[in-house]
Amino acid sequence: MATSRAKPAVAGTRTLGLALVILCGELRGLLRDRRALFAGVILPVLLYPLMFLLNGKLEQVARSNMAEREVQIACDFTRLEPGLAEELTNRLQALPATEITTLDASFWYANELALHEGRQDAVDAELREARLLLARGPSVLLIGGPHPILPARPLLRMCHSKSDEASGEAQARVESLLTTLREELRDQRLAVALGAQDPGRWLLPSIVDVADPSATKGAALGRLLPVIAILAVLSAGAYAALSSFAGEREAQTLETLLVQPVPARAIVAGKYAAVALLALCAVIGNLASFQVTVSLGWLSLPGLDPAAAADARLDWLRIALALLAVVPATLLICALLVLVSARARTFREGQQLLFPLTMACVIPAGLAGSTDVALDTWTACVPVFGASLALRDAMRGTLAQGPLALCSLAHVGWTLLCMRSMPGTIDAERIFATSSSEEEQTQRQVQSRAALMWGLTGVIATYMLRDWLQSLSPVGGLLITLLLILPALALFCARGVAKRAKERVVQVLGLVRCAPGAVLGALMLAPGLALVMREWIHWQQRLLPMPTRALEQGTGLEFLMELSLPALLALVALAPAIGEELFFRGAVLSGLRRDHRPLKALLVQAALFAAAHASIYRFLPTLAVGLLAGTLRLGSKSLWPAMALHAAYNGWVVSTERFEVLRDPAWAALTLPGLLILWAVWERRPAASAALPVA
Amino acid sequence: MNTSTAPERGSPPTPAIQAKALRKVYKDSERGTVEALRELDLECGYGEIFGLLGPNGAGKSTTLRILATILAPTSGSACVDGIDVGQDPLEVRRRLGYLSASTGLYPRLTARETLEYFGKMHGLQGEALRSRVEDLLRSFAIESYQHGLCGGLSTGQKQRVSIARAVLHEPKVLILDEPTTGLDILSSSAMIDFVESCRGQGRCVLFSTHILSEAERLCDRIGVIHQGRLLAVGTLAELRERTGKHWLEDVFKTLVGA
Repeated sequence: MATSRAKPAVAGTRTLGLALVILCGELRGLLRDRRALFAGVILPVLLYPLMFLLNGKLEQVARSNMAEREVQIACDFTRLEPGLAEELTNRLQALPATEITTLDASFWYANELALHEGRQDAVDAELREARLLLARGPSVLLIGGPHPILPARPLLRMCHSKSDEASGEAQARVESLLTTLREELRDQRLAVALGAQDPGRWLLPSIVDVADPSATKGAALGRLLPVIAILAVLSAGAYAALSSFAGEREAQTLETLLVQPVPARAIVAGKYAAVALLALCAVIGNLASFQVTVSLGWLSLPGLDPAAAADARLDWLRIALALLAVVPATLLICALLVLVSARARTFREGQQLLFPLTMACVIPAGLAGSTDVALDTWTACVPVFGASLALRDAMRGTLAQGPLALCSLAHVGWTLLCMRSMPGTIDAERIFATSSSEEEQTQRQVQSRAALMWGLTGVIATYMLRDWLQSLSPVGGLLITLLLILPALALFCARGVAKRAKERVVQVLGLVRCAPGAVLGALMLAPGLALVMREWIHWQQRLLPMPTRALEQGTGLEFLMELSLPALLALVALAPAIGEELFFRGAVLSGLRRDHRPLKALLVQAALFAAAHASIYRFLPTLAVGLLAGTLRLGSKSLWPAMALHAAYNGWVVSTERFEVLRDPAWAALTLPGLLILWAVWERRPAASAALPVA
Repeated sequence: MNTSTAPERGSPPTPAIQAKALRKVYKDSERGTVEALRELDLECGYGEIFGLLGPNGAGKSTTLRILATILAPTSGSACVDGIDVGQDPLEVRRRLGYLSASTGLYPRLTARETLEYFGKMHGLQGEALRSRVEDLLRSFAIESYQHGLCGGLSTGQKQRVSIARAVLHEPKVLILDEPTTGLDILSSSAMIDFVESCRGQGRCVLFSTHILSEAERLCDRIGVIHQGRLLAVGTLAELRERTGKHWLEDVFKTLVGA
């Protein structure tokens, strides 16, 4: 018994030893790689000093440049009341770097009534005259005289050119001067009129800022740090992961490694440790550089009072808490980077695959810094977002131990979950088992690229033509876009793919028979999907509120709600299900699948589909619908289930506006039987069905 | 370290490599099910150089990868140095040296570090590792560029380091997947000399090639593989006799029916 217990322990120790050997080899390679060093050490450390210094310098230079700029103001105050004319001239002459010249304003005197009334011919003539005069040197023309209708009141007219920086600066100086003069004159008259009874003085509060300077600074830094820290992790981790996994496959060293007496889990553990170490090195260096930069008073941030920036130092406790929040997130991000980059065949392909992951990490980090979402039990568990909130709160000095512990535990848990899938990433069966010749691979690449180009063309055509057509006829424009333009593009795209692959167009488009169960299952998913999307939009509205103007403008499709139900369903449910599914899931996805793995092909077509809807607020919900419809297309090898889902989802969404009973969340319960039906249909499918050879 | 099963007196010698009814099926998204190997039987002895001859896509690399435990067979069994590849792949890897068509060297490790790195994977440590690496550096004449990064070595130098890497744990079985592909004449010749030297050391060398002259010169026995099937196995004389052709090219063409 003792021996049997000892064996796994020995094996475990041996695996650990081998993982260490791999780790040392990987680290040695990475440390000799200048790009890895730059991404992992130099960039994260130098980022803050460079950013703050550069920002500070730019602001300083911009300020000093404008303040020192010589400007010329041409004035004519001959018709102004002498006291005011003198006061104005004196003040203008007191302005720094400002030259005052005289102006012949006879044009204005001749046209003052017409100009005051805004007559077009006079305004046009004024423009011509002013341009001519400004072209001779002055930055601004300032003309003063009596009001043409109320001669007791003075009237000033200023002409400047917005396209000229000096003119802008001169105009700002004159405006500032006039504002000060205006306020002084008003105050003088009020003081005379009101005496001690001036209510303006009673209600003038004495403002006292009680915020601790470090809290002010922390709040400003809390907006910035999550994004920068996550970027530092991504910058170092992504390069290391690509180099260790995709780079190894590209350099063909993986085959050599796989025939060594080293278990796959030791190889992956060693490589993951190297990636995580480099990323940790980057984030620790980044935070240390941050603290040093702030301590040296180099901090310069938009919206932060320079006095607050130069004042209190950020205590080390906040940095330590930030580190505690970011380390588990780093481990998780590195695990994700490893999982994704190990799927790539080349470094370049890895970069493409990592882009969505990078966005998926940076966007939550940015949102965490710029919103007031609280770090609670639920948000702490959201990957990356929870850690970003903790980072923000650590900077603000409001991070509590409970949420921090929960956030760290959740991120460690997510990391362990990812690590369970890691040994499979160097699955030799997947990597080496290929039966395609190089020519076939090239042919597939061509088909895939062509599909992408068609996809982009479709998105651009939809952008350009849809709005124009709808401005001519709302219903007709929608129908032409969905039932004519998109199907035509789908046909062109599918023809190209079919020609190269020697297949029929209907096969490429997926217009082949499928099990009725697949269509039924897809239809049953619609209420659940609509509920999830509704909840998502509510949640998104908290994070990324839609501007009031956008809400007021709507989608431009409000006219649809006035149609009868059958007409509405035909326009909103049936037509998009035909046009968009034929194009995105039929032609584009089918083409992309020739060369790309299912996940990548699904993501690309769904992103194109979402982009075609031209709304950042609807991007993610549309992307999700695109992903689900694409999954149905690939899973069933037919387009009908995807069409059914699209029609049912759109139909359900618009029907809920009219029928209260459909808003009941209980309808979402249909999702489960729907999924079961789909699962049963796919389980019964023959292993190598020839209905759709590619997708 | 090496615990290969030595043949007992009077009993038939244990083959260094033995494959029985090997079958490998791929699930390909484009073609559906692809049968890369079909009931392949193979046997090679110690001190024998066996050449797998076949065109591209015939199943040579798949066979070698199954024997090297990189891929698992769909059905059938294979043993290397008496160890079943499916049951104890790590032990099989300890007993064989594998060299792929690419040199498979890490460009940012030096020649010495490469040998030390792979030596540690085979459990060599301390003085044992140092002295084995010194031996290899000397016997493969790598000493002069031992501190040069592999990425900067010439093709011939890389090839030497690769071979030294493959034999550093003194395997009784060597599997070489198209070892001369992409090499110039001198490097190719050095590789051929190395393979020949293995025969005298009692090693079994199984190598794949589509270069007929190489097979003709080196192999004790040749196996002709086409579309996943081993069409014929024998010495060159036996294959000539079977096909009635003299030149290996004609022998090959006759066997594959080209």
